[in-house]
Amino acid sequence: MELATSYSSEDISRIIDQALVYQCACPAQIATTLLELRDLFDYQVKCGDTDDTNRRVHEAIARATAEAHTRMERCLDEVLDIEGWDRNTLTMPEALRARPTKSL
Amino acid sequence: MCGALARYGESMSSNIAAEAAARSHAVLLVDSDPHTSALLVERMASRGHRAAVVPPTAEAMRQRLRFERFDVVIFDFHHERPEELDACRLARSDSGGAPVIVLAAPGSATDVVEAFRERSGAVDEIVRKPIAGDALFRLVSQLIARARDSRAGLYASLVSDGGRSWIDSGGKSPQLSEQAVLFTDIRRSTELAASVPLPEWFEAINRSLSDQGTIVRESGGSVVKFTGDGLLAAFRGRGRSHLALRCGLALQKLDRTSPYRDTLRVGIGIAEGLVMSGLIGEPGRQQYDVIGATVHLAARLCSIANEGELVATPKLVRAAAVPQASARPTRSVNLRGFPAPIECVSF
Repeated sequence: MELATSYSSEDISRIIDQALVYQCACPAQIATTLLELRDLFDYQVKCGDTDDTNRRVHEAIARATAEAHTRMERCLDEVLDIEGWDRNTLTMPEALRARPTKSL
Repeated sequence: MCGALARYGESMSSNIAAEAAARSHAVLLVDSDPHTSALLVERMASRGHRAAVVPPTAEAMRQRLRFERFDVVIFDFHHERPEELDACRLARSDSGGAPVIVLAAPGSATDVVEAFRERSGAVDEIVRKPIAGDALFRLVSQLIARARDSRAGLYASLVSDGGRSWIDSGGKSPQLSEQAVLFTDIRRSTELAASVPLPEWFEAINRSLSDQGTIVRESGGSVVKFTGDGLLAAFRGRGRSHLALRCGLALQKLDRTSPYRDTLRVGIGIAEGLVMSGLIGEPGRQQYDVIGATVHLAARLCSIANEGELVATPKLVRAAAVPQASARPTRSVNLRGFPAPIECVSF
């Protein structure tokens, strides 16, 4: 079983990289969640425990994780569009980058 | 961006008073992004810390670190510019031991920083972005406290046994007292220093002085100072002659059994008499020391001792009452600075 991804791990790093403070980085929160889901998926498909019950448990979790991952990637698409990120370079709009500094 | 930022700002300001009570730290932020660095500077300032920003270039960092001292260095890693990580090496080498924290996004960016940390040893901690709550500030405080403890330990190791006793006893003015004074000196050290690679020579001297210091303390004496390739120890109170001679004989034995006996042989000199002890030096930089003719006599006796030989005054040997199976007959020697010949006994 393989996880379909539309954002590479470099893309995810790039999004998180631009968010310094947890509370002012909603896309980074989604990106962080995607990384966690990927870790969870990897664990489930790589677990060496192969008796029938455990295999079914792993498959069920992996399936649900993949669904959640797909849903969260779509959510990230939506959020980046709403905020006006440059989708080619995955760069946060300048106006948003300057905002936390002023708010503090 | 969401309104949670404002709530975050409020909760942060409630902590400001408590944080302000803590000591203000000097923070160097290494960041090529003006927005993130401005945010970090503001957050540091809100906690009462003084933050300066420098771009991750060798020239800019050297210039900043040459004239200012920082308690901690925070490097903001941007994964598309991995070459900037080299700035951490410079921070490590030029910041006088300030801890280095790297902020990095999870995933591949953190993997890059982890690999760099492994390779370079120039990173103390990695904080994952986005920074959650007070995590960074807590870490900064912990690392600075750890660095201070380590520095305090280093400072303490610069103070001799005698100096510590002096401080502990609250001594302020110099004191006159009867003491037995013992000198050791590694023989042929000039020749060895010129022929043995310096790092090896340095390590060998340290091992020898460490062993000697242990024996001095186990014998009831205190190391007044290390003299480069030897030491000066003092023994006070009743039984000082006995303790000093026993110590000298133990040092001789160490000399014969140590793994580096073929290269590092010491000469030992011991004398007893009136000495003055106290702090010597300039007001801002003093060291505990002992002075007087007895100290000079012990130094001169040490200087005439051959490799592995102990030379002491007959007066001290009589007072010591240590079985003298290996003592040679008393002889008279001319010592520089002493107008008349001095009697001495060799072991």
